[in-house]
Amino acid sequence: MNFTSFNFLLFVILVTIVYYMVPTKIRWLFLLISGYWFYSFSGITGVIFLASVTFISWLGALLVSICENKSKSLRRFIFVTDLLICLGILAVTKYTSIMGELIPVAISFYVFMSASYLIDVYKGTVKAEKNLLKYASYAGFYPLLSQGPIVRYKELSDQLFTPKKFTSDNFSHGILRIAYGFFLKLMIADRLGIITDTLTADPTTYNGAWYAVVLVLYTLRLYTDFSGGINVTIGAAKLIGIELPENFSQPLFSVSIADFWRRWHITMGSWFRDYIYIPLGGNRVSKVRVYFNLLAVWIATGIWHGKGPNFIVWGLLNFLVLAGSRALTKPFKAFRSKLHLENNIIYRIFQSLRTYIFAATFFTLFCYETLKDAYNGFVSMFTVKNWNVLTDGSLLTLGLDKSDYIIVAVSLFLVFTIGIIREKKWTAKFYALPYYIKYSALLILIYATLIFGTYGMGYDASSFIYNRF
Amino acid sequence: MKKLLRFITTIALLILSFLALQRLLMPKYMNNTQEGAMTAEYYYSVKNHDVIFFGDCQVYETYSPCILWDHYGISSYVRGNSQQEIWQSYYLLEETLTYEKPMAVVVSVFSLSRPSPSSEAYNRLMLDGMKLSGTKLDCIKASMTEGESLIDYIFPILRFHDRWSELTSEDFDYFFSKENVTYGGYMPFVGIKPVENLPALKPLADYSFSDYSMEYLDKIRLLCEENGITLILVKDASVYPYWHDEWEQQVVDYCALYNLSYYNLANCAEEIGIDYSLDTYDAGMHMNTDGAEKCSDYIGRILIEEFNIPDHRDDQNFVNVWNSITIEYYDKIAEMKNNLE
Repeated sequence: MNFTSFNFLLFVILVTIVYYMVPTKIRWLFLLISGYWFYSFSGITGVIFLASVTFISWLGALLVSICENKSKSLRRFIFVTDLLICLGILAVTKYTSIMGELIPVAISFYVFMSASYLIDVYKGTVKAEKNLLKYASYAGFYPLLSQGPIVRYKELSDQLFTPKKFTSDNFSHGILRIAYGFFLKLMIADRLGIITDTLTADPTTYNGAWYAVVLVLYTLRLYTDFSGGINVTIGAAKLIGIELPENFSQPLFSVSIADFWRRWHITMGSWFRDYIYIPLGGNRVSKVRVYFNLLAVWIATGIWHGKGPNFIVWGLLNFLVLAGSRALTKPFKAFRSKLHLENNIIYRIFQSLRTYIFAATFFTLFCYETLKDAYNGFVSMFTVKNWNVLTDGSLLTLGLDKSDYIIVAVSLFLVFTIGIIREKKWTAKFYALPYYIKYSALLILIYATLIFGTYGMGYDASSFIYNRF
Repeated sequence: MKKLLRFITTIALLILSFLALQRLLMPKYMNNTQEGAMTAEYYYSVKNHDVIFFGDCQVYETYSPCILWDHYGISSYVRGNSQQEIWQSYYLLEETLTYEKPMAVVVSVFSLSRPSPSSEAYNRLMLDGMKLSGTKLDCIKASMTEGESLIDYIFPILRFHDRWSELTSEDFDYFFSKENVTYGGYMPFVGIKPVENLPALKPLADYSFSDYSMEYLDKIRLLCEENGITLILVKDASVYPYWHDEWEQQVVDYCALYNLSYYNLANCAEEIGIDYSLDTYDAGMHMNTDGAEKCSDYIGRILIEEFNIPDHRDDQNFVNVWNSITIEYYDKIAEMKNNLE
């Protein structure tokens, strides 16, 4: 079920209403049923995988917990075996051709959630859950079964098992987040998708300036697509009083790639930090070892995103920039200090633009089919002289008309403004505004999306990019 | 209390504004593609019909209730739409029976030749004007082609939202109310385009009506039986698209099996007096008003003589309703013919 479909909205409304009608003690059970019901729309194979991963990680964690005061080697053996089975399921489904095109939606997310639970139980930071069904309600929490975020057991379990009462604040915030998610996806992401899909489908024809268009727009598309879905996820959970961690923190305002990865797909970044980088020694090892740790994290991050050399190279490029900026931290700092750039707004904008160009160039590896296409496209930017296509009306031949471009521009301006509000921590001020202003804003958002959104018959609604991962 | 009041006001405003927006964005079918306005018109008619016709354009351009009234005093209505499928005729009949119970139902068999749902555009023309009910939902489900979804019919704004860039004065002029585009469901056309060279008749691989179509013909028959309504099957007088002999035989056999009456007007064109050089506006596909008048007169006589449909011309209740429509109808035809000249 597509997150930005009307059917999904009806599903959310139904689950929310019934949730508050069900006795408090068994609300988690209702959420478990809802999760599996929701996931069954993606096919029975996915349900089998979800149930299998859930059972295996639950059993592993329980055995690890039982062995706590017994044999350490047995405990470690159980832990490693179980973890490998979970990750093995992910590897086999995603990186072999066994499943063909039928890779279960969001498998990377719930496998990572299950793995984090198992590791946390092994480390002793989380107590093993004896009730399989209770644990399953965490791994099968329906808002997460599309594109995460990767939520830890300790972040969610208490909220699932000790539910909150209905509050109008949670309700209105939830609706607002869902509406904003739809807005990002249907007003911007799917429109930009029409352009980038057209351009990347035929890289030989669309090179030079066209590559630059892909470079600029694909990351905007990815951001509005992914963060749109996350807003819907957070909003759906908020309706039933559950707080999920934010997955984005205005990444387009980042001043460096390191900063970008602290703001983009935050829960994935923190997963790799906590379960790979830090166990490998993190920063508290020799310089060479730190770089090795970084490399390991970025290769793993690349692999997590998909199979094929594009993703590995994408991880390596991120590693190279991060390693380079780490090595040059001191000279850069001295340079900024000497030129008094630390609080210079122009330099701040330059930093964000520079970061965007780096991140966006790397992300083109996600949208071109082969490394060669991405590389040739990048080179063609400097060799093919077709920059006139940006002004001669050729942009109107890519599937969008003038009004579409205006809608995208106005919508992006709104996203930028909301980004500033969030960056400046003014969100609370917005929520404190008189209700008629808040509701008017909500209505405008809903109706703008309803009217100007890219959806419906004749339009091939693409699913979220990130539920492939 | 204040919060509750605020909540209720917000929800009420949301629903009202949503409905208003939906109404604005939906096509009005007043100046162009008027066929889209036909289904809804029935709800505004006086429900005193003894005969109701169901079918596609072959019905709403062949049988004129005004002629039936004028010549025979028959109170009738045409519930027809462009490419109305047999399953849609069934659900329109089911819906009609919640408003009134006619003595006879006349169903065009031409739609039996279409085996399964095939066009979203035609579905829209027929379904969007239908009042929301269980019957409508069943009709939508029976009619949907691949890629269509039920929710888009329940909330048409989801289908028509992108009309925002095509809105014209028509959308605002007819926001609150619409004009009638038919006369008792009959849509008049006055042009003349004689039948000349028809395309060659191509043999089909399979002449059998689909199980799906026959299932709904059976349903129509059973529904009529349950309600004591006489079911009459008809094939209109058009000569193209072709009505194959094999199709004709299946209908004849079906009628013989269930003791139904069937009239193929194309077979009695001479008796009806149809002149294919004058009575069609599109080279034999549909009747113009002159052709329709002849066909209506023919079927009217059958309805009176064979099925005892009453003449209401002495009943003031009917006269009040029908005389004004009929006068408007003749005026309209005269105006259209004048414009044509």
